[in-house]
Amino acid sequence: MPALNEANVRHLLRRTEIVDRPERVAALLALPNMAAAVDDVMDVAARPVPVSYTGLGDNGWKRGVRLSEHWMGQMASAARPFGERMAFFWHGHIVSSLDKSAFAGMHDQIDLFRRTGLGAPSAGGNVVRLLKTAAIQPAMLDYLDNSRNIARSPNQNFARELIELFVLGVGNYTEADVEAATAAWTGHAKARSAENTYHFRPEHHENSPQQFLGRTINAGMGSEAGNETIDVMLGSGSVGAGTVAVGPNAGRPAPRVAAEFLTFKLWQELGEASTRTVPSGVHGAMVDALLDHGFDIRPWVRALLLHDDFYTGVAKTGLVRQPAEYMVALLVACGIDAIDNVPGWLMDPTGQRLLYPPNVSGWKPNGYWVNASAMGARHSVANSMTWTLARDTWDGDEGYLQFGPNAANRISKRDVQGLWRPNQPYIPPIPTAELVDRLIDLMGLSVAPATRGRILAHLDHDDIETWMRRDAISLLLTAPEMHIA
Amino acid sequence: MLDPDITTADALRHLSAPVADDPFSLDRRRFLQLVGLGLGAGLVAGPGSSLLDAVLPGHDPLAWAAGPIGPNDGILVLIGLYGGNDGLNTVVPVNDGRYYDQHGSLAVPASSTLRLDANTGLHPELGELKQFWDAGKLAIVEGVGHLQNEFSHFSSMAKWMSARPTGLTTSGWIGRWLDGYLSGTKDLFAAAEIGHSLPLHMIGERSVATTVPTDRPSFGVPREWRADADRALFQTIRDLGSAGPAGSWQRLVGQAQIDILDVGATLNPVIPDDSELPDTEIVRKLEIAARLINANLGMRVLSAGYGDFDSHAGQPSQHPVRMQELNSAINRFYSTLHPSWVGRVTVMTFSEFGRTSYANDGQGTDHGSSAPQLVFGAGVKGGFYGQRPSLAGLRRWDRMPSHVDMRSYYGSVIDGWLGGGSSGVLGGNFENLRLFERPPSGSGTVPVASGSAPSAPSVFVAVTPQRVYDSRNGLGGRRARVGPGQTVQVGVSGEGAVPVGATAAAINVTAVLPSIDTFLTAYPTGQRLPDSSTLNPRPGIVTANSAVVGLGTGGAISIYNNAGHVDLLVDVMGYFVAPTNGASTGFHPLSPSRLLDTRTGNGAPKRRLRERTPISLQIVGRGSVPSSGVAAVVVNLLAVDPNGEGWVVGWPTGETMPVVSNVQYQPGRTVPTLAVVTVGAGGKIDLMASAGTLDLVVDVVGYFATSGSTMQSVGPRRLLDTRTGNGAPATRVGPGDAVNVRVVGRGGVPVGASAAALNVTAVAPSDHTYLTVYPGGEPRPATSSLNPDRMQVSANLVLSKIGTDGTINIYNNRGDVDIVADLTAFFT
Repeated sequence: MPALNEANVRHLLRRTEIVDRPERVAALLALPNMAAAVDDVMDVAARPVPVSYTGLGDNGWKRGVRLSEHWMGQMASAARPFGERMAFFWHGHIVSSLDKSAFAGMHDQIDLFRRTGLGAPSAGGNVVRLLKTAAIQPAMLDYLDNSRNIARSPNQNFARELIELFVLGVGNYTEADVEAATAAWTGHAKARSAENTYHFRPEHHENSPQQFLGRTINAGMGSEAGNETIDVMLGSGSVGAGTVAVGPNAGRPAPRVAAEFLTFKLWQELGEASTRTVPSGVHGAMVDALLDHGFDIRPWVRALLLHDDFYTGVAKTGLVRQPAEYMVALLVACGIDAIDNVPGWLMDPTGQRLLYPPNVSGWKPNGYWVNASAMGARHSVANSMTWTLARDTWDGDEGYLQFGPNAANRISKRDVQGLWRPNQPYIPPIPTAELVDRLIDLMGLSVAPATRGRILAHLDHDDIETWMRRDAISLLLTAPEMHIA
Repeated sequence: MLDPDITTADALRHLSAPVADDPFSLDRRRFLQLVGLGLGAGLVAGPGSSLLDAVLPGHDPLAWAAGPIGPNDGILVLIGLYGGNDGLNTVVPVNDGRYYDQHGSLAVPASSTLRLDANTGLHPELGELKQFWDAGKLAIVEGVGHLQNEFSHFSSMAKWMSARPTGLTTSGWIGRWLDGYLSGTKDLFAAAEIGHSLPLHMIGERSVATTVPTDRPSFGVPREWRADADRALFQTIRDLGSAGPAGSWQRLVGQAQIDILDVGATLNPVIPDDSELPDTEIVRKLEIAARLINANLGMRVLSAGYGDFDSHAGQPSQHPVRMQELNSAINRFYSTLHPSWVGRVTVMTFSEFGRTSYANDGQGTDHGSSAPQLVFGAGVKGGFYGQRPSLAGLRRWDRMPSHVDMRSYYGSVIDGWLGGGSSGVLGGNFENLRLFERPPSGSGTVPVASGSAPSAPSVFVAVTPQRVYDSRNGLGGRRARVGPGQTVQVGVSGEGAVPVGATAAAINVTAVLPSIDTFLTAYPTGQRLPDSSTLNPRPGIVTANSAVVGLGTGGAISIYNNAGHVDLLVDVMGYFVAPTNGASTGFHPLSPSRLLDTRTGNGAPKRRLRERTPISLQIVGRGSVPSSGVAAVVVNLLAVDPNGEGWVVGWPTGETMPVVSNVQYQPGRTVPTLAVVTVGAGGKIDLMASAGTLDLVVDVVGYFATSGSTMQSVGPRRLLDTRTGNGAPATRVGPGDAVNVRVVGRGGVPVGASAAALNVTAVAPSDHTYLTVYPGGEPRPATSSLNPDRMQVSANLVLSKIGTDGTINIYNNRGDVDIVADLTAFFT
């Protein structure tokens, strides 16, 4: 079992709760061992805080903004944010986009991920359940055109992406498999009268039995035929597990291939995305967890978080924070409420906007984000946040920079930049070292000594006037280490 | 070579490069001059140790290490059609009944297409490409695909981008080309992806392209009110970015942050504000691509993508819009690209795969296999390549076969246009389709999209001269120097004296303190950037010239700056408008005659003009100018041998002197400028110099009075270039020789035209000389139109009467010289 020390705890928290908040670090370090720490992190609320759309009318776009702000706000402030973080993983894996799907459907899909993405098995925390539920939600029916997939004019979009992107991975299926799955998935649509309701249309369903990964499906199964494809791939249900027939995995059971593919995706999301492989130890543990527990989610995630391979130097330095994660880190540091403070236009140039994955393969890790224009956009986001931060509050002669709701979360502007008052002696600001340390403490950051030293040197530079000392805030928030997960 | 122990100050003085406030005002060419002079020595030792750091504080030495882009280096523009373009609806097989059967209601009717031949039509929205086809510069490569037909987006896109059908796809074909091109050096501006994220094809094993934003970047440019503090801030960011272990993601993030500063500072003057950029994604991206090329940053490959082409459903409403956007983008690109680059640019499309021939019932098509791809540009050999896939025997869900391996498609472009080496990039040899009829070169043309017809015949109305643009204080536009390859828009009509509906304006353009030799081109807003010039500024001096420019969209003119950074002033002297009933003034051209020469006592006492001491000059009744009815005169003002730096202004006698200038002069230089001056009390004009003493010469070339010729402005056209043999033999004009230039019948000038407005440029005369422009068939007058210094490039606006034989002559007095003349208006 990995050691319970500060470095490992911070790493665990940054990957699961996005931010290693000081109070969470302290709480986990007080536990007996790493298993207890992992269980604590995974002890997410049974029901996530629901989003409120009051005052927004029927406008789907505005509701979308509200949902993504609320969700990000929960990632920042929930007692156990890991559930929200896993929902974010599923959003980038079982993909739909508000670009194409109606808002009501997207709300339901995100709600499904938030409720069951890291849920207990009894509460739907299982990959088979997740896929079967999402497949017939209106958001997915719209996004991958399955609502238009009818017997006399099949549309392969959903069936293909289900196999290739959601379950088995590229090269593990044949065109005949896609055609068979397409036939199995015909007939699923939305009710005409209420667009956000699912309705199966038997008259559009292709009834002839199909051969899929070596199994016969759709033999009189009607609306359940689609689920059979999931059962064949994951070895659930009673139709029997399929076998991959082509490519490097030819001859191997589909559930194992699926478990490896899903493991690779989760490792890239939480472990590291530098090596493009999964270390064999944690790979075996995670694949076994999926296969031994019928694709339940919690044992699988636990196997990842408790493995020594997750705590290596390569893993600890191998992920760049996605823009949404960086934004959450900014919200936490600055104590800003997400609602009304994270508009879509602010996130767009960073390359990531919740509810709008760029295409059905979701977002790509690391290198995708590390270029001048996407990083430049993050700078703009950080500057925008620090402007929001500097909400002036007045208390007599005082003004404050507020890093949260309470008096304990603020620093007086006098301390930052000194205070001139007419006919009164000038009050100088606090020394630079004390200022930087106060800011680090207020924002709950953990900063490398070299970074702290360089920022001190900046503030002491001849050309920096006292009123510019608040530059320290943006330097702390945009330092390269803030972009590492 | 300079002594390496030369002091910084001495070296900079030697270079006569002003150390600008903005360290990145030094562009690539200037930098390489420094390197060539041996001053780059020591740059590899790191920051703080080389002369370069004094000139470019905080620069990354490796950012400039790549070689210059030469006149024969090709530039490639890639347009990605993401999602799988429906090739059958793009290059339509109009005679194939199976296409109409299989594509059903999605098919494009034959009668709507733009016919290329008996069997083929282009999608109706692709008018630009039809013009390329007609000019023989569009290559249609049919049946492009890859060997392993998988129809997933992502593996297929990865294969298209990586050009590796099997195996790990960690790099793409342009990225690997870039690896070879840069050979380990770093160059932020060799290849660019215009957008937020880097697609695989722009990522190499060692190098990656730079992402260029679709908005003007500003981070990296010191803000005025805290410039020194910002420089300190940027240095801190650079230091924080260089910490962290080499090769770590933290270090890579840090390097990206440093790149932000470099890219931001360089591109801030090149990319305009959002309000000047089009909204449609791909049109915007291609305009930015053209501006990046114009800025001469050394880019060889620019890539831009857009979507969504993945029309599984709803195709009839999606695909035509995509085609229209593509067409607009091509038009915008070539309208923005400076003509001098056209010969070096090729544009190509790519898309992951085609779409099925059979439509599905959702009014869409599904992922196909092969599709046609398009390559066009000045060097492309137009025609059909590859093989059109047959639709025979296709059943539902069948994909069309591929006939051209995509690697052959890429390799043909790498070898034909990017300097070769395709086998290294692609891992093998593939058939070269021979898509080009010649290699990249400095000259080349593409079809002009829309001919700019001459404006309506107009009469001249002089106004109190008024400044409408000043980049030094933000009058009329941004308060910022105009950057390399950048165009600014100057509103003329509707601002002050010039009414809406005016067709052209007589303006004076002044360039202040350019950072390097450059040229400016004034042209009507909305027209294609022409291959002509208005002004040739040089560092260290203030250069001015007059121009007659048609007013374009919104009553504005555009001014393009070729290189470096420069401040720009524009003064309006008068405007042209369609005549209304009542008094209107037309132009009467004259054979030039000299009305004033203070050196000989002609027209005024024989004595040098003193600063701030106006003289009055009798105009009316002298030198063929009639004794009455004259509203304004067109004169060439010549400041001869001034002993100070200043300007000359002319205005109607009896009125207040306006706050504008006509001629800018420097000590020792003789400078001519054409001016239109309203005649004042007693038929006279007043003239004044602002500083020092000088001799002043005034030649009259025409006047405005009732019932003269009306003017029609045209988009600038080059009528003469002795460097290339346009309009006259390709040979320099010798001492005492004249070149005869046909004007009537060229550039839209009709028979019976009485005069032409030409910007005449003298290029590098071997000796100090003067040029005289006069009508063909008449004796040469004792006047001058240009007075170029030895080895300089200088221009002047000339309004010349056209000879009865439809020609004009340009005479050169001493040495030999190249002469260029650009037509901007004619009078009939």
